[in-house]
Amino acid sequence: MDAKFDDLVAEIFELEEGAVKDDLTPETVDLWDSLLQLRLVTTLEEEFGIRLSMEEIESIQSIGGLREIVRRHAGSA
Amino acid sequence: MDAEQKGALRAATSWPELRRLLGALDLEALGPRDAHLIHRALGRCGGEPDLRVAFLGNHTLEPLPAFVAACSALEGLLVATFVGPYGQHFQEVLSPESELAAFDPDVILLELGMRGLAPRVAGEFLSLTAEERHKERDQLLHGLLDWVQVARERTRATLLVANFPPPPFPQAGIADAKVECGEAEFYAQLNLDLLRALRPDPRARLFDLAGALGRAGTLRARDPKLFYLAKMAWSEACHPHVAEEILRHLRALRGLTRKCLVLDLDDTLWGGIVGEDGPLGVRIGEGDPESEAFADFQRAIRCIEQRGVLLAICSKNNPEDALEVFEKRPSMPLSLDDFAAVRINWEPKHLNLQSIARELNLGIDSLVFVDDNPAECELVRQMLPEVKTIELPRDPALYAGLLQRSSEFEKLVLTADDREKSSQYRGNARREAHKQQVGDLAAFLESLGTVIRIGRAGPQHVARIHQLFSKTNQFNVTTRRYGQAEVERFVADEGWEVGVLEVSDRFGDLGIVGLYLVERLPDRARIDSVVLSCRAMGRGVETALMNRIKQDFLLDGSFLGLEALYLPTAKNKPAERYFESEGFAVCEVLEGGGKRYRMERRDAGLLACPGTSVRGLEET
Repeated sequence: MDAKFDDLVAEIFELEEGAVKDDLTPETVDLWDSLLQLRLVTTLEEEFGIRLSMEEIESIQSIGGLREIVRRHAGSA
Repeated sequence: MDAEQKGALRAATSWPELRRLLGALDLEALGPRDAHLIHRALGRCGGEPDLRVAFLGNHTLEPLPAFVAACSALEGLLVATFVGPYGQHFQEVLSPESELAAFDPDVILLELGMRGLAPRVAGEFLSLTAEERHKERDQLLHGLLDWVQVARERTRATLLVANFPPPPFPQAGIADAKVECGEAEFYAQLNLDLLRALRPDPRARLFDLAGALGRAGTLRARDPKLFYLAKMAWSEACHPHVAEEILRHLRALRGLTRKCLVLDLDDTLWGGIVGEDGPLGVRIGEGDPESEAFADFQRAIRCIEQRGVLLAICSKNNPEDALEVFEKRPSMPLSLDDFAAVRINWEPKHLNLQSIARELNLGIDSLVFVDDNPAECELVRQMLPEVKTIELPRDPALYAGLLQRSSEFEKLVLTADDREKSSQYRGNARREAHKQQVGDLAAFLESLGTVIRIGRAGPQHVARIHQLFSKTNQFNVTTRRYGQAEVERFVADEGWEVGVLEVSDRFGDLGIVGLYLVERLPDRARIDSVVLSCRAMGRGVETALMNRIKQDFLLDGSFLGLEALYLPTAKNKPAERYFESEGFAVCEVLEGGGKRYRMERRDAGLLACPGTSVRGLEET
């Protein structure tokens, strides 16, 4: 899951390969705004066949946090 | 897209480079991620856009513009997009200081959601009385039409006004159908009123959002989470469908309509191989599933023909075998008469396609080629990349739908000319046969009995004029592609004169086949455009047209001088020496081969156009 997750994050935020780290936040990623965050979420939902709740989406503070949420859903799927 | 294609896309630095990369991609296979990637690449590459499209609405319209730009780029159109601040659609068109005014759009899409526009209709439909429902509907309609009125006056854009997709489940449930002015009826009536109100308006068009969402899937098109979090009305899944629908309008506005559909025969028009199965053995008509599918495909082809597209046959067969099918299976929806050109032989197909284009006087890029054989399709793709090649899937059940979905034949309006197109070309074939018979050209022209009607254009001609401007490539002296709004202005403005020209002869009515556009300047008149359909070339029509200009602008005494311009393109060679042959003097040769001309009143002699009779537009 992690490699695919990293690829998708890199593609949407236009990051170099290997630059996707868990401590990335909206403050440290240039392109990270609310619309693009939503696009990242819908892309992850589509690619992993999962559905995030509004509460989960609103709670996203970092890539690590998002990864944790996706892992939880994908693991139980 | 694979990783390599994505990498190449990221590395592209110019629009031509990007366009080449995108040419290899398939629009229907385009996913949301691909669309975003292409949109970003477009942002980096820049370039002068072919069209500027503005999106106005009362909810978040992104990411629709990204999809529209990406889909357009795949079709070779560079589209710049702009999204207005939401709920500000009136202010944006009213204020000369607005961002919209600075963007100066060619097209504005207005998409208003019911929730923002009429919250009680969206959320409390059942609390409204029938009277209140009628009132709400009237207000909605008039609000939209007021906006159209203002936007028409304040912008030069073509206006696309979205209709209202009904909610997936009516608030009254199945009882809605028994309620006076129920919810389904409310939306149907509103959308119908809007359609009818916009129909006569040449600049405003209904945008069938409800239809596009239906194709995406009514339930899939909605994702309430996206609305609560970001005020997005529609899910990502429906954007490809909505963008595809927008692209249909954009293609037609740019005149990217193909003019001829070329079809293979065996396993394309009918099931089986006529050389093996015989004319009575091929499957077409009623009675078995395959035959019915082929008959439906033929009916779909007929509908394309009725839009004013010419049909042609390009088949590897013995001609007598193939033609026998048309004779012995008269119940086939298509008859041989429907085809403007026929090539049934053993020559390579790309040569036949070129010869069809020559016979019909069309550019090779006006052709769509349909065949079931992958090898033939590949050959044509390789040899003639300008031709749009459609490779049929294995199952004939899918044929008709494929053609019905195609956006290659989209037109803004169907004119009387379109409906007559195919019979006009049949008239051409008879003219050609008659010419062979008569032998001598002058005697032939004399015997045609050509009647030319020329006169000042009125509002009823706007659609056809716009069509001629956008589609005519060969006899077009300056190839200026004027939009609908500009045409309307030329027709209404006393400073300009738009003339149209109708031609008929003993073989039929060719309809409006030419136009001229002349500007009245203080001391002289300037010919801005002369456009003549290739169907009318070479029979004195060109000269009759110029005689009329000389008469109206020079000989009647209003101007002393007339000026004209020829600008060469890859295709307008037939017009290269037009002004010389009508008596103009070249006064300047421009860089790139263009020429400026002038004619003084004293030199304005009318030239003979033998065999023609010239009249005013309404004269009989």
